[in-house]
Amino acid sequence: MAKTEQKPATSTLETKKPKEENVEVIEDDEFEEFEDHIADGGDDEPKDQWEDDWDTDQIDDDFSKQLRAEIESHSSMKS
Amino acid sequence: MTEFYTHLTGINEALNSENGPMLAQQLSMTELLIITLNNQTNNPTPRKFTSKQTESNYINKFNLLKKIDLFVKKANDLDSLIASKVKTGDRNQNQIYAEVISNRLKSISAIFDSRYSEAFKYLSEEINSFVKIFELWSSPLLWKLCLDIRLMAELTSLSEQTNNNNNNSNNNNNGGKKTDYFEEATRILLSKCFQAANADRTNIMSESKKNAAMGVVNQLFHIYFKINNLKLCKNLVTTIESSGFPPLENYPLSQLITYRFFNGRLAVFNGNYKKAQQELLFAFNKCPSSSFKNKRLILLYLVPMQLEQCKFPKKTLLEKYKLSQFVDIVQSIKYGNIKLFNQCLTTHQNFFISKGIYLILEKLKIIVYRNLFKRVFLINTAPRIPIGNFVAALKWMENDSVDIDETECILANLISNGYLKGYISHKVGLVVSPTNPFPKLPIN
Repeated sequence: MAKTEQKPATSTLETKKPKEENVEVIEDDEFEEFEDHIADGGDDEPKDQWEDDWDTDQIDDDFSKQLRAEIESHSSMKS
Repeated sequence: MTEFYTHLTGINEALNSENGPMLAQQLSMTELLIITLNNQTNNPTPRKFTSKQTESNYINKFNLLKKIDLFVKKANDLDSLIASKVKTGDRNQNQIYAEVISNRLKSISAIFDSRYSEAFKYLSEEINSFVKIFELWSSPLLWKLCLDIRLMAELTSLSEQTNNNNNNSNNNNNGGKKTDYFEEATRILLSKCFQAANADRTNIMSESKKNAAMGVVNQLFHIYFKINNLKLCKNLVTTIESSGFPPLENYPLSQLITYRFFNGRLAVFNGNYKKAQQELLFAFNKCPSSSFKNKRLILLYLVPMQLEQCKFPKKTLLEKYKLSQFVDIVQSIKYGNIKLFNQCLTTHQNFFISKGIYLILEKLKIIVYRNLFKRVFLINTAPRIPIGNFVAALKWMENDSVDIDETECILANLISNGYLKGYISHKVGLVVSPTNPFPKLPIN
């Protein structure tokens, strides 16, 4: 319903990003029937697609450096 | 004309060789229903075909049925004509299969004439007849009928919508009470189809019609999720997972994937995240890559569950399945970047809400705080950290108005939930445990 009606409005007023959002919100999300028999050939996905070793003690990334700078500037301001 | 007789010959062949898949294919209405549904102008989500091949198969079947229907519409006495042509070894069976075939052809005829509620009625009569003679070998037809009655409910509901919009002032001719076709379909699925599978009393489980149950249950899941009545799913799950039924892994894998997908979403809804994660991970791993849409749908619910368990999807995985909405969520949790986390939730708010996962993602915020504060701790290096350091981090990440009280409140929350071992001393700041102050995630 929204697909055709919203198009003219969004194309003139909105930037590209919210338009994509709209399309996603009304997408057809029905789980499809499987057409063929599925043979169980083990898992279809490689296991290493999920990270669980991200929680390290390393703080040499940009985010941590910036965080350090924020803390330092805050404490120097106070003292 | 020839198409009509070829059709009956095909059915006889399937019946006499007890070829379930062939019978289901002969008596399928799925192709006609999908094409008719897609042609409804008020259909918000017409289905896309997975391949050009599928699309042309559907169109071929549609055209074949159209030719058969031309003959059906001209036939004088369809019922006796069909009855004289169905030939299995058993007279009683012949009679009932003749009812099945003729009700189906009448249903198809009604669909071509856009008389959908009538089509619904004929299909339900077809089902009534079929369940009387349903055998384990004909399970594929039972499953097909379950799928078709669901699609038929969808079609009939859609067309009633348009009718109501067109003549708003008109009184409804059935006493003002509208038929709810989804409800009607669930009634048929439960009392006819599920019962037909369930009623088998044999002790030999491999020969039991109960092996057909999951295909029926999956269609009920489809409808319950569509009409948003998830509490009705619970009884189905309890029944099919009870000891009187085959173990889940004995069902066809395609059905088991679908079952676990819905069961996983049900667990998400009930807040049983650990179970949800297991069900959805199974479905995701077993679902063949050729079903891109299904894989993506499973992943959509699996990702929040994995995040809950602090297992982060790699960027390549998210991009492969066009779920880039999660890329920055993952990044922000990992680093404790609350600013980015909040931004993502706002940017994709509509998307996450429409999928029913917004609140789940929002709850992950405590882990984002944990990760931010762990960094503050690592930067500080000493076991006593001035509260001011946390305030500085929060001012940077959230807004400048964050004060000591608010900061201590978040710290206290992390401590009471077990994310942080230590205590707050107003004199010295946060005093963390000398051993393992930030226990490994997930903490329970």
